[in-house]
Amino acid sequence: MIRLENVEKVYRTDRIETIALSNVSLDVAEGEFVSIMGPSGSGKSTLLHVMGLLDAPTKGSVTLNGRKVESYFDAALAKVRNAELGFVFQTFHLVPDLSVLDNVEVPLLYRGTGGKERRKRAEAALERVGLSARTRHYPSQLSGGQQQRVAIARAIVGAPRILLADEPTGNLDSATGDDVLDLLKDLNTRERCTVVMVTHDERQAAKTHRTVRLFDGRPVS
Amino acid sequence: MLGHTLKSTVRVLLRRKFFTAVSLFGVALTLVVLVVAAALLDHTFGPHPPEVYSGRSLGIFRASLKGKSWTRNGGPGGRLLETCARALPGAEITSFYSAQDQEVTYRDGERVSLWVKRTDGAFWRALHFRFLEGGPFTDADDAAANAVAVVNDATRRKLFGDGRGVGKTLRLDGRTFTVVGVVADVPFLRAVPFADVWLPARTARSDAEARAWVGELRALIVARSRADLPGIREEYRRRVAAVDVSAEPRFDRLESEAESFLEMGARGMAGTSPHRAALAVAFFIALAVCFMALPALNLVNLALSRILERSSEVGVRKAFGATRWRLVLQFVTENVILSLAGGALGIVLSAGVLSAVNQSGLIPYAQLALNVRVLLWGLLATCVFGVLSGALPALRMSRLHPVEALQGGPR
Repeated sequence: MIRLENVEKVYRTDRIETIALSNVSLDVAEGEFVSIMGPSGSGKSTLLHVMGLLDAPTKGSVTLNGRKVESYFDAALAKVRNAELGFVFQTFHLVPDLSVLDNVEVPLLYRGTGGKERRKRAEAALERVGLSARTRHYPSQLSGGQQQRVAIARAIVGAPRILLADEPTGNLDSATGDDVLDLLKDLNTRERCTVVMVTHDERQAAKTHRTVRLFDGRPVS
Repeated sequence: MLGHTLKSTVRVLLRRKFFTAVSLFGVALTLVVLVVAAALLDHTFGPHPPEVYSGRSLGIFRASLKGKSWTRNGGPGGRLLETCARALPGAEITSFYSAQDQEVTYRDGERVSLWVKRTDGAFWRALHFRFLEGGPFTDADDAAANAVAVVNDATRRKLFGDGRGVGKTLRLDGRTFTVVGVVADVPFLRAVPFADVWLPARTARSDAEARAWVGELRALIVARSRADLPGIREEYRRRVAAVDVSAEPRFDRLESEAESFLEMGARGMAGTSPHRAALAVAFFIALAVCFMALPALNLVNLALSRILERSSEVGVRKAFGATRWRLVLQFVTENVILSLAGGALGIVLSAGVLSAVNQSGLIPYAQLALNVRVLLWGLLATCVFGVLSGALPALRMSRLHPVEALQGGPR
């Protein structure tokens, strides 16, 4: 499903060169739930960004669903991200000026889905995360846990085959965090959605199929 | 998609009330100035009655006698017009009239100052005045120097109160004239038809004007069609060049040309260049663009700070499949919507300003109005304004790397 081969990511400024990822090779199979762990600055988020085509590797290759990503042109990447990937962020990143329903509709806007169909699918996604009563609310009117559920609804509304979650429970209390993790597990089990999750929490990592550990940008066993 | 953008725009604008108010005020104020300027130009040069043939009309407004050391500038004199402007090929109506002059009459011992124009009978065929009473004087009235007059409605009220004007008399230049027609007021800025009182040309006390090459007359030539205009210009130029002025001491040649009203207006700006009308139009467009550029730059800054706050939104949209150009379109659309709202406010304010100018008497008989032409120009200016001020911030934001955008902006 996702294959990274000898991926290296280096950030360069005028004077400093920072190696964020070094020689990372990783395979994630379809239907897997993989957690990525490591101390701060170990390259977890960078790895997730490279997998999600939000960042290009300096060296190495990324293969998604059997297709090697060779072109990193804006329009081509945007199309793949829209069709194949869903993102959940630690700080939710909901658009504050849009209602819950409009936020969930965002991915469908960029694939030309008609207004009625968008609404129907967004409502279904919100029902899936247990928030169908909050469609007209705005993000600021919701709790952290509810906002993350909206973010998950937005991530799954386009039925992507891969869900990438960057510390999805990092800003939540443990009970709410567990709820969100249960939701991700449910999506993985019932809908065979491949999930890759960055986390600091050993307890949550233990609930996934396997854990990839990073240290200084390198996988460690 | 547009509905989504509209909803988002309205929420953003309501959330940042101060920013919105400053932006709306900037756009509205700019538009007020542009609309008032456009209304003034339209009022002066637009094809409004009585100048219904302005698209196929030419005027002769200037003439110069030139010698080695001497130049006499003025309007064409009667001798020049009779020699060179009569029966030009392609001309359907040719009228000679005087520049308006201020003359004085008295009502109940009170001095009343009036703009008086002396015209021939053809003047009333070349221009379609709206007669409220009676009708125009004729070529026969002019030939016989009959003491008849046409007055405008304001003068009728001033001299005769609420009653009818036709049949009443007024004294001007030592003679008593009988009013034969009353016309609706013509704005002061319409230089060709404007006057308070129109009298037959031959009622002038002196015939000096009729004998002069350079004087204070004007000619209005209505061509059979627009296609005849170049031929009329050329023939007039040829006839003027052929005039022998050697009998005039100190002068050896005569210069005059037939020109459009816009060319006449552009003389002050671009001299006698044959392209003066185009130059004047280009100048006004450049002026409008420059005038829009300053508030647009201000709006660019405001829009940039507004959009920079939304870098996380840019990151999210990119992560979920927005291309760079979709984001540019979204942000430019938002700005155009804001500009259109400012434009609507500007139009309302402009209507108020134009009405105030009309009522102030600053421009006698001004009828400045928001007609379709002015509104379309205003709409165009507003859209240009919105695109100008929205494109730069939108392009800058759309270039943001998605990871940088998610982290709150450029690193």
